[in-house]
Parts: sequence; C-alpha cells; structure tokens
Amino acid sequence: MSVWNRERVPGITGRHALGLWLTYRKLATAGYVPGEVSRSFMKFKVPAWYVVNFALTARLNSEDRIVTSTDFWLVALLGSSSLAPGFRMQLYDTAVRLRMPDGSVKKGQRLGDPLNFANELGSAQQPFFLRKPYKFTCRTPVLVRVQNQDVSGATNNIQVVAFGYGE
Amino acid sequence: MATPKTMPPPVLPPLRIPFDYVVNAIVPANAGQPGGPAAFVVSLQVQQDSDFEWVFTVGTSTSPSGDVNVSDGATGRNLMNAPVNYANYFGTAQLPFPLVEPYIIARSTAVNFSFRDSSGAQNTVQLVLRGFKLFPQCNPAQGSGGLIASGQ
Repeated sequence: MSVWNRERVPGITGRHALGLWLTYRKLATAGYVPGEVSRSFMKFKVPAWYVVNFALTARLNSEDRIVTSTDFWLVALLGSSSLAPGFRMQLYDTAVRLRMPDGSVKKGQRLGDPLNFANELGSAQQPFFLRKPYKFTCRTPVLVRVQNQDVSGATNNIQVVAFGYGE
Repeated sequence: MATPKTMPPPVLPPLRIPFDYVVNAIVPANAGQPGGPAAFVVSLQVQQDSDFEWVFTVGTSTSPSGDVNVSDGATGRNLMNAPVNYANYFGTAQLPFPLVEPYIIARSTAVNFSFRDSSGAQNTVQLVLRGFKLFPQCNPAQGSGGLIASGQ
C-alpha cells in the first residue's frame, strides 16, 4: 500500500499529506497540523498571505487592519521582529457578533490575550499551525494590535503574517 | 441471465514526479525602496508538459532583509496583500515551509515574483517551489488535460 492511494474511508480516495510533514515533528506531525476533515475545506482553494507591517520605536503601540477579500481560512501565524525583544500582539475578528446573556450584541471578538510574539507566531521554517483553521468571512476586517517590547529607542520593524487559503 | 453492470473506469491518480522550480534573483541594493531602483521582478514559467503541485517553499538569501511579492499569472491574482519577509515566506531544505493543502499551478502559467531589498547591499536570493509534476497515468507523455485536479 502506498501513501498515494491509501484509503482511510472506504470508497473515498485518500489524499496524500506530504505538505503536512513537519521535519521537526517527525512522526508526531499529525498532532500539530490540521486534521483531514479540517483540510477538506481548503481543497482547491488558493494560498494567501495577509501581511501587516509596523515600524515602532521604544514601547510604542500600534494597530492596523487587513480586510479579507474573500472567505479566508487562517491556517498558520507567522511573524518577525528586527529587534530581539520583539513585541506583543493581539488579533481580533471584528465581524463576529456575540449575543450576550442580557440580549445585547457584542461586536468583535478578541482572539486570545496579548502574547509575546514568540508564543503566538512562528516563522516560515517553523510555522505555528492552528489545529483547526479559523474562518474569516468575506470582507472581514482583521485587527492586529502590537506593542513594541524594545526599549532601546531603535526602530523595530515588525511583520505579522496570516497564512491561509482563500477562494 | 442478468448482464453485469458496467462500471465507469476508475480515475487513476496522477503520476507524481518530484520537481523543483527555481527562481534566482540578484536583487540590487535597496531595490523597491524610496530612492532606490525598482523592485526586481522575475517571472517563472511553469513548463508546458504538466501541471505543478506546489508542496514546499524553500530558499536562501545572502541577507534576510528583504521581501517578496508573488502573483499567479494564470488568475492574475496576487497571493499576498503586501510583500512578505523572507523569514516568513520560505524555509530551508531541512525546515521547509509546507503548504498544508498543496496548490496546483496550471501548466504554462507564469508566476511572477517581485523582490525588494532593505539590507542596503546586493542580495542574492534563490527561491524554490518544491513539489511534483502531475502526469496523467493514461498518457504520461501528453501532459494534463484538466482531469488531474479532479482526480487526485
């Protein structure tokens, strides 16, 4: 049996998972990447990189937003910082509407607490994959807030990249 | 005596031949920056014999201070809304950047890469799209006829 035609569900042709082979995870790869059902939503979709750039001096905050041009499945978060202390960041899905217990509607959902970038962002060599891709609907403004952690006064060039698949 | 039902012939999975498409760029200092030369553009022509299944992105650069913007000529779409830093775009052979869902680039497509530099010196970049050429098993010499994408 080869990996190219192995079937996990009888009658449904298996799909090879070579793109999911993480050399630094070896046989544990499957525990760190989206599962087969999650990946099925991305079949025949187009890979997309949504990028936000910041240039901040000591301890400054900033925010920027990107608007998804189509439905977008966020698969991995990547980022880089030109200075070692790095930055902290928060991500918001501004299109989500939550109905609160009192009946009111709260707009916008924070996706996690502010974290040091090393705890939320990977790199191209070692991307941080979401086990289950997160879907942003078409024309969703995705808000990114960052705080520079460097105190030297030099400009910190920050880039946050949301990698995923769009229509 | 009942005649047995005839089943449609199975769609065979494509033959996958490992292949690397290589983009070499010698990016001038400060290319694409204000006051510098224009961004360095390289067009990659996917060969006509087969579609290409893009699985990994790997590469090297003499300086990490640069970024790249990629557009798919077949659809005319940019794959990114702004240039992506090298560190966030390609890995290495040891630690490649995987496309969770491989992307099939149609044969004869021109994929355009636009490189910028912020290192202040000439930057030699090699970017590799690693994956497989897809040939139909029924006629490997012919190249794809559109069936591959639906039958994989």
